[in-house]
Amino acid sequence: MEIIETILNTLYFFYDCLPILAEGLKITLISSVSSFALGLLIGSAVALLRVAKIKFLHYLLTAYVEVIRGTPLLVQLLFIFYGIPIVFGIKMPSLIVGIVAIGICTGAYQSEMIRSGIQSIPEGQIEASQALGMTKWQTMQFIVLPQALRMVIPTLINEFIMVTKDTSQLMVIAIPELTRRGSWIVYRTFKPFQVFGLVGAMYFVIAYVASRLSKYIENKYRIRGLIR
Amino acid sequence: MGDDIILRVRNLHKRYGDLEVLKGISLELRKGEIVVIMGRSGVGKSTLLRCINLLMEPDAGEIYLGKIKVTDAGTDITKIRRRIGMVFQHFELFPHLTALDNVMIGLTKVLKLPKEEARELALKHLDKVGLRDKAYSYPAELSGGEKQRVDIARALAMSPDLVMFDEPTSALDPRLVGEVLDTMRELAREGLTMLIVSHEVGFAKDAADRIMIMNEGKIVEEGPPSLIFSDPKHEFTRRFLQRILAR
Repeated sequence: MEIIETILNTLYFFYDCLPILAEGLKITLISSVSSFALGLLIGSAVALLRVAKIKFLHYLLTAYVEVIRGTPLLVQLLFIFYGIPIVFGIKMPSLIVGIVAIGICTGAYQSEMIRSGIQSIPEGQIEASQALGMTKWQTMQFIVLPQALRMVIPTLINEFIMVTKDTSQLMVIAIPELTRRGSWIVYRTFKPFQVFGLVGAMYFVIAYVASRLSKYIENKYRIRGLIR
Repeated sequence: MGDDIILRVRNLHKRYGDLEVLKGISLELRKGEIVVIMGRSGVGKSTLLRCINLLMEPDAGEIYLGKIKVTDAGTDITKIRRRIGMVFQHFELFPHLTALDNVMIGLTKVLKLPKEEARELALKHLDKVGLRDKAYSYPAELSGGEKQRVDIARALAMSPDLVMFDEPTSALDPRLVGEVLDTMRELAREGLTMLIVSHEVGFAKDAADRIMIMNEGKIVEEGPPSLIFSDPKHEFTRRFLQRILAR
C-alpha cells in the first residue's frame, strides 16, 4: 500500500512540475531547432567553400573549424556572451546569443560532416557529369549533393540530438530552458532525484523521436536497389 | 576534303610529375570514322581520351573539334564537352537517378530542352540500346551490361559529334560483353564517329576503320585492321598482338 502511495505522490508531484518544465521544454526546442538550422546554414556554406579550395578562405575556414573543435562549448558560450557587449557595445537578448553561439559551434561540426559526404563521392561521378557538359556548380547541385546529403542525413540528425542536449548548457547564461527550470524546482522542493529524472526523460523523448525520424527519412530517400 | 575532319589532335603532351604519359600524340578523326586504340594498360590511352575533352589538362599540344580550338584558353569547355560523348569503363551512371533520368539530365540541364522533349528523346535512345523497359530502374537494379548500355544511351542522347569509349567492356562479366559490342556495332553501321579504347580484337577487326597501337605515350603504328592484324610493320605491334590474340 505504501508503495502505491509513493508512486501516486510522485505522479502528483510530476503533474505539479509540468507547467514549469513544459515552458522550459518549449525554450529547449526553440533553441535546439534554431541553432541546428543556423548550424546547417553555416555548415553547408563552409563545406562548399572549403571544397572549392579558395586559398585565403580555406585557411580562415580551417582555423574556424579547428578552434571550435578544440574548445569546450561552455567556454565558447561564455566567451560570446561576455564578448559581444565588450566588442560591439550592444546587449542582445540571452536567448539570441545562446542560439548564435551553439549555431556557430554545431556549424563547424556540420561542415565537417557535409564535407566528408561531398568528398566520399567518387571522382568518376564528377568526370561523368562534366563529360556531359555540366558546369562545376551543376555537377555539385545535381550529382554530388543529392548523393552526399543522403549519406550524411543520419549523421546530421545525430548532431541535432547532440545540439538538443547541448542546449542544457544555456542555463549558465540564465536562459530558462528545461534544465535550468529543473534546478529551480529542486531548490524549492529538494527532490533532485525525481526532478532530474523527469527532465532527463524529456530530453530522451526528443532524442528518440529524432532518431525515429532519421530512420524514416533514410528509408524515404533510399535509392532503390543500392546497398551502401 | 579537310572539312569532314571532326577531331584533330596535334602533338599532345601530358605528364604527371616526373612521369611523361603522353609524348606527342597526333591523330585525326573523320566524320563517321571508327578508330580503335589498343595498347597495354598504363600506356596513356585513358589519359589521351581525358585530355581530348579536357577532363585533364594537357601540358602541350593542340586539339581541334571541327574548327574550334579546344585548347584555346578562351574556349567554353562545357560547350565542347556536350559535343563529345564519353562512355566510361565503370559506366559511372548516377546512382540516385533512374535510367531515364540518367539519360535526361544532360538534355534538360545542359542542352536546356523542355522536359517533355527531353523525355521523348531519352526514351528513344533507351529504346535504341534495347532498354526502354528498364527506363524506371535505378542503376543498382541493372546488370553490368545494361548499365553500360544506359551509359551509351546517355552519351548518344546529346547528339554528339563523336563518342569516345574508354574500355567499355573491360569491367564486364565476359558473358555480358556481347550485348555491349552488339550495340556498338549497330552504332557503327549508323555512321557514328567513334574513338574507342578497347582490347576486343574481334570487334576491332570487323568494325574499325583504323587501328592505332599505342605504347609508352606514343602511337607506334596505325592502319586499317586488315593490315595491322595480318602484317604489322612494327616489332612492338607484333609482340603485342601475339599476346592479346593468345588470350
